[in-house]
Amino acid sequence: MKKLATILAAFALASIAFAQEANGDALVAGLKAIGAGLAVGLGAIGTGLAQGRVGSAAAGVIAESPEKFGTMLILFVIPESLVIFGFVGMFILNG
Amino acid sequence: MADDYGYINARIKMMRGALLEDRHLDEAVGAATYSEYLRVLSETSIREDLGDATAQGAGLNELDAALSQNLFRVVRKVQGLASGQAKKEIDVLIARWDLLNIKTLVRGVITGRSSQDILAGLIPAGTIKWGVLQAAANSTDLAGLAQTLSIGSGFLGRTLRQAVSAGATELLDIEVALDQDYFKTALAAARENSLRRYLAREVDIRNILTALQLRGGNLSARYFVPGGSLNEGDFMRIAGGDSTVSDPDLQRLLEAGSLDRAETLSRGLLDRISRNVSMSDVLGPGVALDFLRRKEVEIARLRLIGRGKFYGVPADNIRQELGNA
Repeated sequence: MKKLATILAAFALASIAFAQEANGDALVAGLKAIGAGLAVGLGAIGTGLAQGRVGSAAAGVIAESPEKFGTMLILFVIPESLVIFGFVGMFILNG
Repeated sequence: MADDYGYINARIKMMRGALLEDRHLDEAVGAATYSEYLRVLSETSIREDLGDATAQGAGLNELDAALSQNLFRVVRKVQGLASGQAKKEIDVLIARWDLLNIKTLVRGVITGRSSQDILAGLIPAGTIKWGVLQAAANSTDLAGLAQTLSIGSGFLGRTLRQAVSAGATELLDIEVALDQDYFKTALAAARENSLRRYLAREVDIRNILTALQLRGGNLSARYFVPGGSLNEGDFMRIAGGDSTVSDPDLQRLLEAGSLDRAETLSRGLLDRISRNVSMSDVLGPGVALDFLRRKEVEIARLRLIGRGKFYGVPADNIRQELGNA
């Protein structure tokens, strides 16, 4: 997790460094694009991590009680909201 | 993921939901007759293992076989859920029954009990095959027992053989040798801090009980089991008659008044610790640890109630026995 954060930070800083060479409008557009990418990407990573844990526990519950499939499905899809928020953020940024 | 406690613990927690609730036990204790007791059992998760126990003319042997079958099946299921490091940790928890069974066999052989009596005291769980335990129960001396258990009984079988080969004939010598090897292996296999903490606490309790047993007799540091928070000096001090330790839980054991009472208190203490571990360590082996303890207690209680009902013991007396167990 720490490694991932470091890599993302490095990409962001490198992008900003390149963007500084461009003019003001291009800089803003570039930062927006980075922000949109981070919003979707980090949302997806968070969703993946959460669904990994929820999914394995849900698989265990369903193996013992198949009738709980519906409840487990709902719990499994709840973390999807993270990536949906990311999408919303992306659209707002691209306004 | 090979070591996914999320999956294992979810399954175990669902299995925990199938354990008998207090109201079932109350109902069983309150049953008017033995057949009424069996009817109560037939309405619980035990029913699928009852088999011959409900047949006409069936007695306590059939009930014991049914309860043993249930425990064996559940333990095997838990064992089958894990793989990788998780399997090592769960195997260590299950090997606890090997330790208890080997101690029972040693005690039975040393005191000259019949193989039927010895078999009745064995717990049908653990990693040693039932056939090996049956063969071991027929041993007439320690050398024969050690020889039988040296094959197919894991590291504890080898420990017993080494102890007997080294000339150990006293029960306590052999029990402590088995404890020392079990806890050494278990602590080495335990990756999770929660499991290590639990095992360390169990080592402390073991040392206190041994020290209490040694009081007024032959004091020796060779009976000390390493791995807990108490050191060898504390052990010798307690064995020598001192009854002060810094830990309040352990202090209560020292103030119990008798060895039996200290053993009862220690069981309660370990139950409480395993429940705490289970609640605080949801993605670790604590859930399995707590479940296996609860399952064993459930079967022991049902066995006790069954005996009481079979012989017509009043419900209040059974409740009292359950409280002391």
